[in-house]
Amino acid sequence: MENGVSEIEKTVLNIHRRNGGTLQKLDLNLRLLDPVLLLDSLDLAEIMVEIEKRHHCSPFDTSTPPRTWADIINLLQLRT
Amino acid sequence: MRKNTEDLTQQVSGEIQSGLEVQFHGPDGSQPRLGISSSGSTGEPKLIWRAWTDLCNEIALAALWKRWTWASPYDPHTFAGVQVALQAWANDGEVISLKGNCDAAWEDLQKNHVQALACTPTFIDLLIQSEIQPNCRWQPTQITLGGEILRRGLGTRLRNRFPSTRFTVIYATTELGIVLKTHRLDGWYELNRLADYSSAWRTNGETLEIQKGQGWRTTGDKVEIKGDLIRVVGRADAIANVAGTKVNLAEVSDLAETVPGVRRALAVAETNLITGQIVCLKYAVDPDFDEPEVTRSLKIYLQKNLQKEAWPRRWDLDPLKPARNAKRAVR
Repeated sequence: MENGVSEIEKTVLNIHRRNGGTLQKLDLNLRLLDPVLLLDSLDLAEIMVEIEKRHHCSPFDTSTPPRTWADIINLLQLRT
Repeated sequence: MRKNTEDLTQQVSGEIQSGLEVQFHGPDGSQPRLGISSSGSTGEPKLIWRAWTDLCNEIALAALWKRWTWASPYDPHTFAGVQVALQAWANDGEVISLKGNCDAAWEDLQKNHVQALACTPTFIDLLIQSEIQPNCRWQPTQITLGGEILRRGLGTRLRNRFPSTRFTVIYATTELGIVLKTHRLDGWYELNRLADYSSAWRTNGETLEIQKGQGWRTTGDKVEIKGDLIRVVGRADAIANVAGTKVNLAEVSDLAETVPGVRRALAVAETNLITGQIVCLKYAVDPDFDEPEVTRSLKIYLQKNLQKEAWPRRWDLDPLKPARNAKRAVR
């Protein structure tokens, strides 16, 4: 799953920088739309599409949606 | 007591935002009308003129709602934004704009003791997810949802987070006004509520049409009817609803095909659990061009020339097959 974590981090940071951000690393304990990440719902949808493509499942297709990036990683690990 | 039309007119005059136009007297002495902004996927706004009395008649009044503070992230010059403002002012209340990120929205809602929130399902869902302190003290009396289909699962999350809040879900369009209202949170509406806002209704194929005034008007939405319930399934034409914003898919396809090396392109709507729908672009690259370079140019060009909601979030490269001669053979 380490590769998966780095892929998710890379995707998030790419969009973060597209929006003018300068973070070099993703703190997995951040909320999905924490203001420091400069992401909006459209960016989050784009990231989820990438995750679904790689992992063939959606972290949001659950009764308790993820709140942080660590939640996303944990959900994906549970499903593999 | 209902404010008369003149009082509300005065209030609107003082609160006019850019993009909101008011015509108080038509050239033929006709009723006052309000020009409301409705934009397409390229961001070019168009004005839809609605009779002032029609807008006022769609407002609900109640002693309970007197002097409430309403909050909304809607742009004030859109139909939803105008509705919220009129609803607040007609009941002697005020309305505040929620701008910026979710943290700022939470702060504004609590600081202003907001009693009623009007927003899209996407907005409230993300607001709940971003809450720093779960079960904080802010519990509104009313939440009004609109602008997009209420997705499965969200209704349960809303009830859990706001157990004592009254919910209203509105199905409306800028052109037709309110079509349906319900207090259900499962995506369905009571079929008999159609009579509240139109004199008659019918389905044309699966597309809902209503009678307002003299003629039949299409909603452009496909519906499903089950017993005495009706729900909106999605757009019948090539329009996606991305987080409450309508995206003209034909415009996206046409723009994509202007990029050198793009042989064919077709934008389609795809279901998405976060924004309701996203735009997916299927495209084919001319064999004489370098595919990665064309793909890169295509992404940059569309992101530069389309509003953000219209950006494709999924890109499906379709290899060019021989003997296809239809312009839009990419399916």
